[in-house]
Amino acid sequence: MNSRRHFLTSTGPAFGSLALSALLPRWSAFSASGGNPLAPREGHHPAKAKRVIFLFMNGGPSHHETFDYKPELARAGGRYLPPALDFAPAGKSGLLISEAFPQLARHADDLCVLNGMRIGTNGHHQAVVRLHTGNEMFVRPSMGSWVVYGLGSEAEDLPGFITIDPIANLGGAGNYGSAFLPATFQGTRIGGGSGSVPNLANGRLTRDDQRSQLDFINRSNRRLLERLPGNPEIEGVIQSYEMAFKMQTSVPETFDLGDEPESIFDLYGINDGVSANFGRQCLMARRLAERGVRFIQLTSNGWDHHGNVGSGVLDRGATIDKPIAGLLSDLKQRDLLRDTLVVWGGEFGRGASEDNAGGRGHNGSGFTFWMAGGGVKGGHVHGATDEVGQEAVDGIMDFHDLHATILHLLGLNHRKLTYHYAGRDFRLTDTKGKVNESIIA
Amino acid sequence: MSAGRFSTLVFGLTSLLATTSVFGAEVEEGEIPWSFAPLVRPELPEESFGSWPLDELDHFIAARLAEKDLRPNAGADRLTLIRRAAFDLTGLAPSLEEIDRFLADPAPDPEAFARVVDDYLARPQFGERWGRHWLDVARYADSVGRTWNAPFVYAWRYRDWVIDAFNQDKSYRRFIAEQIAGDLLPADTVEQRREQVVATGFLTLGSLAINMGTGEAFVLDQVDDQIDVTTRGFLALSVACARCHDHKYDPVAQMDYYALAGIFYSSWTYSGTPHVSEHAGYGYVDPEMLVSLPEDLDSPVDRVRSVPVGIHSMSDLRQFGGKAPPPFEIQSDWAMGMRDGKPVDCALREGGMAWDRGETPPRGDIRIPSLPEFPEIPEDASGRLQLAQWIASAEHPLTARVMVNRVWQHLFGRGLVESVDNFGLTGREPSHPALLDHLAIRFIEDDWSVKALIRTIMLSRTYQLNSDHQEAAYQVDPDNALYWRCSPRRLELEPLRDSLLQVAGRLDLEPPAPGVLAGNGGRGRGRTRGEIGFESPYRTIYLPVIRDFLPDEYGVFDFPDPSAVAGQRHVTTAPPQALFLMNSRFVENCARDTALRILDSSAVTREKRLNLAYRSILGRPPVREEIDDAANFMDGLDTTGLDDPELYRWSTLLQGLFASAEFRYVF
Repeated sequence: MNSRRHFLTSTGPAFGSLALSALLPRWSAFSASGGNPLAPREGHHPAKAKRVIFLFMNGGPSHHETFDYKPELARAGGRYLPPALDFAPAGKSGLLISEAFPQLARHADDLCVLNGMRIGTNGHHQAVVRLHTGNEMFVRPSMGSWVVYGLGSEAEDLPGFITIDPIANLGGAGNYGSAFLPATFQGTRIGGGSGSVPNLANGRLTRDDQRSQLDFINRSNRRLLERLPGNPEIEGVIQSYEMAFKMQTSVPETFDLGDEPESIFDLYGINDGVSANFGRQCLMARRLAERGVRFIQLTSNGWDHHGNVGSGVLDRGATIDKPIAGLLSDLKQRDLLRDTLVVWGGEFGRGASEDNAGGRGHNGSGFTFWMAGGGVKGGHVHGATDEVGQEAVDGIMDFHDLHATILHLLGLNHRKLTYHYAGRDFRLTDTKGKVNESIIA
Repeated sequence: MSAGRFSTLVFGLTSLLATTSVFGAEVEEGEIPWSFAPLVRPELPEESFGSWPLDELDHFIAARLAEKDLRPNAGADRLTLIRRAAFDLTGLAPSLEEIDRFLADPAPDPEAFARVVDDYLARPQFGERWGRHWLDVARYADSVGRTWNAPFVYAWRYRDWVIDAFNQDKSYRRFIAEQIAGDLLPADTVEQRREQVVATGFLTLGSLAINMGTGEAFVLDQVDDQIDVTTRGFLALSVACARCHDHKYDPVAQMDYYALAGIFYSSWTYSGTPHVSEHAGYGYVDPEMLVSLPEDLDSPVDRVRSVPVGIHSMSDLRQFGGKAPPPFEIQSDWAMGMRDGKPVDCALREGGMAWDRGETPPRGDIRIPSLPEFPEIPEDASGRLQLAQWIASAEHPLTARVMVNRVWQHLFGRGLVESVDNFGLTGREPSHPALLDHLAIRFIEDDWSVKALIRTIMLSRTYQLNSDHQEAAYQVDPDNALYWRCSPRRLELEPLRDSLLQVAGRLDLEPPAPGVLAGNGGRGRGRTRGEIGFESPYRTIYLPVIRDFLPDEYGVFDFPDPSAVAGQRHVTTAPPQALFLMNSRFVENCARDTALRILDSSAVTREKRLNLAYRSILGRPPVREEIDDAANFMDGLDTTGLDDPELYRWSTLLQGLFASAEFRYVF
C-alpha cells in the first residue's frame, strides 16, 4: 500500500534554502528543533548593509522643489509651474539641493539621489501600498517583513521590524503586515510619543512580585517539560517569557531618550519646535539601529502639496531637515552609517504643471528617492526625468527595482527570497525587479 | 499508483486517467497532481497490533507504524481525553461536572468516551468552534477592507448560517451547494429558501478596492476572489493562479479560468458595499446593493428595492456631521448574497488586463485534465448551479478528500496532506494516501456528515493516544508524522480567550444581538468599528472582524489575515504572547474574577482552593509538589498595604496558571 504516488518528483519552482525552511507554517520561535525565526541569518551573498531606516514621506513630496532642479519649467512659456524654491550646489559633489534642506545639504556627499523613480500610478493608496508591499491588488507582506523573514534580527530583546507612528489609512496595517508570512515577521507599531508596545507594563505587580510570578510560571513549565520531554515548543514558551520580561525593561530603555546628552537633542533638532517630533523619531531610529533592529520605518506626513508647493515643501522640510541631517551625522560618528541603509522617499512625486494655485498634482511617472550609507555611492545622482521633470527617462527605477536593490544591499537575492503560499512561490518583487548595481559603492 | 492495493473504484467511475487525454501529447505524465486520481476504496491493511484498533482507520495507522517497527503510545487517561475532546469540539474547557461525570462513568473507556463526544457534538458550542474553522477558509470579515473599508453590515447572517450548518450537521454536499448557488436551489419552506440565499454570502465577502478603478476591472477582481475562494476552499486548487497566464505548475489553463469566470460574471454580487461606479446616492454603504430575502417559494431573488427611514446607508450618516455615528440598524429581510444576472461568457483577458480581451470560452468549459466533466449549463443560467453540482459530487476526486483532510487537521494539528489549501503539484503528498481515501469514501457514504466524520475519528484509537514521549519512536519519527502519539496542540486565539472568560465566569454563551457595526469606512471618525470588542463577554467568533483594524491580540495569537483563504493557521511562540498573559488588563481581570470565584466557593482551606484552581484552569488536580510550590509562591508575595491581601495572592497565582504552557496547550 505504500507505493508513493510519485507525481511529485519534480517540485516545479526552485526552492531557495530560505523557502524550504519556510515551507510549513509551523514556526516555533526559540525551539530547539525549529530554531528561533528571528535569529540572525546569513543572506544569499555578502551584505553591504545590515539594517534599513526607511524615512517614508507620506503624500508624495515634490521632486521639483527638493532634489530634481528643472529650470526649463520656467522657460516653457507658462505651460508649467516653475520651481518654487531655489537650488544650490552642495558638497564636493555639487549635488543640487533645494533651500528646503539646508542642513541635509551638508551631507550631500553621502547622498545617492535616484531621480528616475517610477511607481506607475497617481493614486495615493495604490502607490503607498505598492511602495510598501510591491502589490496593491492583493494582500502581500511588506518589505520590512520580507527582510526580517530573510535575515532575522540582531536585536535580542526587541522586535526585528519596527515602524514608528505609521499611517492608519491608505492600506494601514497592511503596509507593515506580514500577510501570509508568519506573524513573527510583521512590523511592530510604536507610538513616537510614548514609545510603547502593547502590554509592556504591569500596573498591578511590583517588579519583585512579577519576577516571583515568572519564576513560578517557569517552574510549572519545567515540570511539564520533564513530564513530557520531546516537546521543544514548551522550551520555546519558557524562553518567550524571559524575553518578554527583558523587553519590559529594554523597550522603555530604548525609547527613554533621557540619557541622551543635550548636544544630541540639538543635533536632531529636538529642542526646536517644528522639528521636535521627527527629531525624536530619528533619534529613536538610531537607538533601534544600535540595538540591531533590522528594519526601522519612520513616517513624515503632509507632503501632498496640491497648492502652494513652495511654502508647503519649505514648511514640511523644516520639520525633517535637521532631524535627518542629525541622524546621518550621528550614525556616521558611531560608525553605523557604513552598514545602515537610510532610504528617503514618498509614494510618488509631483507634476510639472500647476494644479491648484501654486501647487502640483500627483506624478507617479517620475520622481526622486535618495539613499545614504549602507554601501551606496555618496554624492551621486542616478537617473533623470525629462527636462520638465514629468517622466523618468534615464536610469529608471520602479518600485520593484527599488525593492530588489534594497534587498541586494542587505545580502538578499530578491529572486531567491521566496515563500511558498497558495500553490506557488511568492516574492517581494513578484516576477520583476532589477538590482541597480551602478549605485553601489 | 499500485493498483493491486486499490481494488474498488467507487461510484462506478471508470478510470478517467485512462480515458482522457491526460497522458496524451499536451500534458506529459507526471504533471497531474496525485489528488486528481479518482477515489478508490483501499483494502484494510491487516496489521492491527492485536486488538489495538477501535476503528477501521486505526489499521492504516498501525500498518505504517509497523513498517517502521514502531509501537504506538498507550491511550490517554480520562482527564487528558476529556480536555482534548472539549476543546476540539466546543473550543471551551470541560466543566468540573463534566470531568467528574466522565471519571465516574463505570462503562469501559471507549463507551464512556463516546458518550462525552456525543454530548459535545450536540451542543451549540460545536458549531461555534467548527464554524470558525470554516470562516478562516471563507476569508470571513465584517468589512470590505482595502482602500475604502466600508462595513459589511449583514455579514453576520452568513457567519450565523455557517454556525447553524455545523450544528444541524448539514450534509457537506448541501453545505457547498448552498454557498455557491443557494439562491437557485429549490426549497421546501420559505425559511429554508431564505437561509439558502444567506449562504451565498460566501461569495460576497471579498476584500476589494471599492473606491478606485473602473467598474469592469472591479467586477473582474470580484470574480477573481470568487474563483479563488471557491476553488481553494472546496477543492484546494488555486485556479486563480491562471488569471493572467496558464497556471505555471498545475494543469489549469487560462481558458479554464475564464470558463469559470463566466459563471460568476453572469451573476450579481450584493455585498452592500458597491464600487464607486455603481453609486446611486447611498455612497459606499448602500442597502439597495443587498439582496432582499424572499417571502415565497418561487419568485426570483431580488435586490432591496425600498429603504425605510433610519440608519441604513452611508448617506444616512450625514445627519451626524462630525460626530461618531451610532451603529447601522438591521432589517429582517436584508442580506448579503447572490442572484443570477444576464448570462454572458467572459472573454479571456491577456495578462489579466481588464481591457485586453482575447478569446471567449463558453461558461463552464473547464478542461482541467482528469477532473470530471462539467455539467451542461443552460443558455439562460449563470452556471452557478452546475458549478455547485460539479464540486459537490462524489465523483469529484478533490471535494471529499479536501474536507476530510481539513477535519483531520483540526483534530490532529496537521493534515494527512499538510498543505490543506493546496492539493496541486506544489502542495504536499498525503502521508497516508490510503487512509485519506478510506475516510473520504466513508464521508461520502455517511451522506457527507461532518459530525459523523468527526465522531469516527475521535473514537479511533489513534485520536485517543496519550502525548507522552517515546524515545524509540522519537528517534525514527520526531515529527510524529506516523501518529505514534498525540501531538500537543496550541489553543488558538478563540479558545484561549473564550476559556479565559469561561474560567473567570464572565463568558456569555448567548450570541450578541446583530447591529454592532458603525462608520462608513473612511478615515478618522468615519472609520468602521464594532461596538463590541475584545473586552466584551461574547465568544470570539461573534466579535466583528474589521479588516486592517483587528485588535493587537489577533496578530499576536496568529489569527489569519481575513482577506485570504487560510485553512491553516501559523503557530508562533513570541514574546508579545507572554506580555499579553503577564500584563494585559484582560488577563488580569480574568484572574481576579477567577480568584473571587474560588474565594467565594465552598472550598475553604488553601489546599482545597488550590485543588479547585488547578482543576478549573488545567483540568486536573495539583500534585503535592505543586501545592507546596503554589503556597510558597503566594506567601512570598509582598502584600504590605493592600486592602485584600488574599485576593492579591490568589489573583497573582491564578494569572500564573493562565500563563503556564499547560493552559495554552492541549495534550
